[in-house]
Amino acid sequence: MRALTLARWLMPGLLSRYRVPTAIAIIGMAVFGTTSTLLGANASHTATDRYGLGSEALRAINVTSYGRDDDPSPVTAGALDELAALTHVESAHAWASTEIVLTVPDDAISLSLVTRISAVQPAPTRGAEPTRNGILLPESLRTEHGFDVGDTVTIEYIRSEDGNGGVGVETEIPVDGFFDDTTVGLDGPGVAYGAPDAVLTLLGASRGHSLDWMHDNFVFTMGYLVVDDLEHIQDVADVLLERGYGATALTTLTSSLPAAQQLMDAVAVVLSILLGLFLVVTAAGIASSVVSARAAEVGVLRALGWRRHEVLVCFVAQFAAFGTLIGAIGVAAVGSLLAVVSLLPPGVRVLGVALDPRLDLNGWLTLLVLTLAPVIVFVLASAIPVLRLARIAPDEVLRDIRR
Amino acid sequence: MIDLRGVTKRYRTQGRTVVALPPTDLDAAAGEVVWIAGASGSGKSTLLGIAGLLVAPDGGEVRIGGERVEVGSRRIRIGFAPQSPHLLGELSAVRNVRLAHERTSTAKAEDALYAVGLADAMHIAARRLSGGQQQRVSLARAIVEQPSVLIADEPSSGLDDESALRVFAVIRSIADRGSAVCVASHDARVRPFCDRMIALTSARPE
Ligand SMILES: Nc1ncnc2c1ncn2[C@@H]1O[C@H](COP(=O)(O)OP(=O)(O)O)[C@@H](O)[C@H]1O
Ligand SMILES: [Mg+2]
Repeated sequence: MRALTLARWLMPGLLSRYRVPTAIAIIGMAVFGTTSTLLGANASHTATDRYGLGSEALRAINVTSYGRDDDPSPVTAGALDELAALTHVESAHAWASTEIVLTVPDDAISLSLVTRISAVQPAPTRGAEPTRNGILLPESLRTEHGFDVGDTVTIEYIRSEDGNGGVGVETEIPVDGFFDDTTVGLDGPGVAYGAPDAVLTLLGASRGHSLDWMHDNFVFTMGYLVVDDLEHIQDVADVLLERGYGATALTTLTSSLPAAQQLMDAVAVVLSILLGLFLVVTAAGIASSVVSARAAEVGVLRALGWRRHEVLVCFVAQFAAFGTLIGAIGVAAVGSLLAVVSLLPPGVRVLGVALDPRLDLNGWLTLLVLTLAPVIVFVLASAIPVLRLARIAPDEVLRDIRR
Repeated sequence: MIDLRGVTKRYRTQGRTVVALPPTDLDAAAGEVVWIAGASGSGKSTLLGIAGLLVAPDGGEVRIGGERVEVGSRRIRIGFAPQSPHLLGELSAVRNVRLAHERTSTAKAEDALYAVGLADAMHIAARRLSGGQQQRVSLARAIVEQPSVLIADEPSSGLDDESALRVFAVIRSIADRGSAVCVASHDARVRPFCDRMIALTSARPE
């Protein structure tokens, strides 16, 4: 069809004549797409960002036993496994603690070795989460005593001797990392963290039990459940209470969180309106200048026998292709920016926004909208000028002569 | 071939009626070049617009090949070369000529450009061509589909002698190949190329 052929012929000239607004539109798309994807990942309830609105800590419920001898619902490992299987529960963790003494030159420091449940505990400031028998120590010990990741430290724990109370046993364990203890966490001051089975082994030893026995019979003081979404905390807590557990949600912020999320959503909406307006103004501006530049030529085409719909198809196709190009390059730019951002070390934040792109469903939807929006905007915003072009009558070619 | 009887056109502008064309007769047989002469504003373009089926006359009738025809009719092939060529500047001469008709192929367009003496300029962007070359591309666009009637409006405007004579020669050769040709011009250089002349007198307010 000659209308599409002519559109194809005219495209390169159109692009090169309007390359500046085109470049600005693409940059706008790239910036908007990247920020809104990052904001979206931050705001998402299900995001597992450590500090953000989706953090596990805010979605955790503290589960306790009543602690009576006839406790109907003791928090055992088996009971936690059952709770982990409840709908909306992402994970369940048993919490235990045992006393150890850390030997340092000329001194000994008492510490509570607590089960590492990273969801509700401070993140490692250096090193990594404790492995099978390693521990995480407070930063203050590192600065005071010069420990470092990979060091081996000597600790003493109590081992029960049948009926005779206990004896202190020294052992060497690796230091896997450190955590920030400048503020006291849920576990109180003077704690170190160990992997669950490591803590349970030492705790069992002090009471004369094997690890297997502990798994089968030990009643934990408490545990934590991480719920998949803030909205489900109340539901899960209700089930826990019904089953005879004590249940306390760690966050009392549930009412203010949606407000914070709405703010982020509002920012994204404002950004998208600005981008949309920019695209509309760009497309309409280009279209109306094309119309005045092309009016005489279109008059000739009409005099040559081109039909209105052919002129219409020719110019709509050009603007659709223009929008498609901006959408495709814009989304490719977003993709590349996100790829670069994901190469950054984790935990980097800009203006409080974690640079942690996660393409969830919303992220993909944003990209889809970004691809299609310029096409639709360009076609619609150019519609009026293009219709004006198509309405040019063949005798315009005579009228023009007198000018 | 083409026969206009008593065609007339009035325009109303700003409350005044202007007679753009008083009742006028025009006819051109196949192989004939008819020169429509007259001062600027005498109605030459209006008459050509009517002959080219672009403008509906207020009175009179248009016959082509003996048959009455109306504005927009496409049964008869009419080649129209407007006063300003209005080529698509970034497209080559060949592509501009190809826009003449759906079935205009590159080969045909090249033949037409060859006929108007533009063999060397076929693939040059139209905006790089001189005024005379652009007029000839416009002519090539008008003749590429072998029209029964060729209409050329001021084809020599703004051209130097050499270019003007070349354009007129091309127009003559098209008539010689069997087209009926109407050329509007206030340029007397066209006289030797024409078979007949029709003179329009200036339009005046009614
Ligand atoms: N579309 C129009 N609207 C109003 N007046 C017109 C229009 N077309 C032509 N005229 C008037 O009709 C007269 C003849 O115009 P035209 O046919 O262009 O003459 P020429 O081609 O001989 O210069 C002029 O006075 C012109 O102003
Ligand atoms: Mg004129």
